[in-house]
Amino acid sequence: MRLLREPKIINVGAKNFHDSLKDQGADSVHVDWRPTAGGDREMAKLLDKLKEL
Amino acid sequence: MGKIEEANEKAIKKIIEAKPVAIGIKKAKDVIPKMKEHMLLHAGPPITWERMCDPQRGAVMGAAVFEGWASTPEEAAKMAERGEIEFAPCHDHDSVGPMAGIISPSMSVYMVKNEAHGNMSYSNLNEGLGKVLRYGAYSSEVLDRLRWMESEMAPVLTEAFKKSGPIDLAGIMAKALHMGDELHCRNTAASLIFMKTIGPHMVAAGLDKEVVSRVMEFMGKNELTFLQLSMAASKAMLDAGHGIEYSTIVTTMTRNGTDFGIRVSGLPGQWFAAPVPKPKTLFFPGFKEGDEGGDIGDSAIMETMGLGNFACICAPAVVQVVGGTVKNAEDFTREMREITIAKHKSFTIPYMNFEGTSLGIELRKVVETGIEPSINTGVTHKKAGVGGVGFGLVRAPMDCFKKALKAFAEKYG
Repeated sequence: MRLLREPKIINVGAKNFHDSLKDQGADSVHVDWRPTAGGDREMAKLLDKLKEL
Repeated sequence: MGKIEEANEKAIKKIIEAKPVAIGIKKAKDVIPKMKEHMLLHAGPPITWERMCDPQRGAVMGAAVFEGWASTPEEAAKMAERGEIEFAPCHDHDSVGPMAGIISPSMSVYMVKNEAHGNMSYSNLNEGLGKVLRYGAYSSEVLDRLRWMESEMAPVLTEAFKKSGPIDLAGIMAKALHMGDELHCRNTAASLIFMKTIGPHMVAAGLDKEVVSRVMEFMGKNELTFLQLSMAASKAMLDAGHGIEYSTIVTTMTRNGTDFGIRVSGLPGQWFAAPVPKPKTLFFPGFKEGDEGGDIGDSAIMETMGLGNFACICAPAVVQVVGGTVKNAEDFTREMREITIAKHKSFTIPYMNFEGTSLGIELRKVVETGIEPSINTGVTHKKAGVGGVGFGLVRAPMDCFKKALKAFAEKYG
C-alpha cells in the first residue's frame, strides 16, 4: 500500500529521467548502466570472442 | 584463469615489482638508444612535420636553433619542411617528454634505471612554467634558459648524482602522494623531497657556490622540478610490463597535439591513434577560451601508471588548478577503478583509507564500459611561440582503444 502512496523509483540508463524526477521531489535512485561498448556491435562481438581465450 | 587474465597478472606483477631510481644525467645523444644528430624526439605517437601542431612545431624550431642547426626559427622551419630533421616519438626511444616533448641531442636528460628488471628510461630537465620550449615558445629568453641549464644546471646535477648515488624515485612518489601531490599537474611535495635529497650533494660537489646557489634557487622555485622524474619513473615501471603476449594492459597513453596514441602490452611495436580532444581549460590571466591548443604531451604516462587524474583525490589542491571540485576528484578516482584491474601496493591514497592507487588500464574494460581514461594536463596556446595558457581536464579518445581491441583480436582471437 505504501508503494502506491510513495513510489520508489529505480532509474536505469539515461540519467536525465532521474534528474527530472528529483527536480519534482520524487524519490529516485539512478543506476549508471550503459550497453556493452556503448552499443557498438562490432566491439561487443570482439569482446565476446576474447572472453573465450 | 584465461590466457589474457594470466598475462595481465604477469604484467601487473612486473610493474609493481619495478624499482625506478635516478642514476644521473647525461647528454641525450650519449645515452638515449638510437639517438642521432639532426634527430628530435617528440611527445606522442609518430608524426610528420606536415601534420605537426603549431606548439610542437614551435618547440622543434627552438630546439633546432638551440642545437645550432639553424640560426633563426624561420630557417629551422624550412629545414623541417625539407626533411632535414628526423622525428621520432620519445616513447620509441625509452624516453618521455612533457607537452611538446622535444628532446634534442645536446640536451641533458635524467637517466632512470629500473633496478628490478634492468630497463632504462630518460627525460629532459624541467624549465619551469609559462614561456618555455615544451609549451611551444622559442624566443631568445627561452633559448637562453636552455643554454644556462646546460652550462650551469647540468654540471651541478652531474656532480651531485655522483655523490648521491641512485635516488629512489618510487619512494619519493609514494611519500608525495601522502603530501598532496598526484604527480602530474602537482609535483610540489615530490620536488621538495627531491631537493631535500639531492640538495646536500649539490653543495658538497664543490663547484662554484654562486653557480650552485643559482641552480638550487631555480630548481627550488619550480614546483614541477620533479615532473620529468615522475614521468621517467612511470615509464620505467610500465615498460617492465610491456611486450607480454596476450596482455591487454595499456602501457602508454600520449599525445602530440594532433593525435592521441596508445600502446598495449601484448601488441609491442604498434601505435593506435585518434585525433586529440581539446582540454577543458582553466586559463591563466590574460588567456581565454579558444586560445587553447589540442591535448599534448607524454605526461599522460602518469595516468597510465594510475596517478595524475586517476589519483587526483590525493591532491585536493590540484582541482583549483585544473578546474572542478574536490567531489569531482573523488568521482574521477573512483570511476577509474572501473577500467583498471589492480591496485598498487606502494602508492596509496590516504583519503580512501590507504587503498592502493588504480593500476593496469585494461583495454577490454575501457571498450566494454565506454569509460575513457581521465587526464589532467597543462595546456598550450594553439599558436607556436606563446607558451602555456592554463591547466585542464581531458579524456583519452575511445577510438584508440577500439582500434587496439580490433588489432588484439586479429592477433590473438
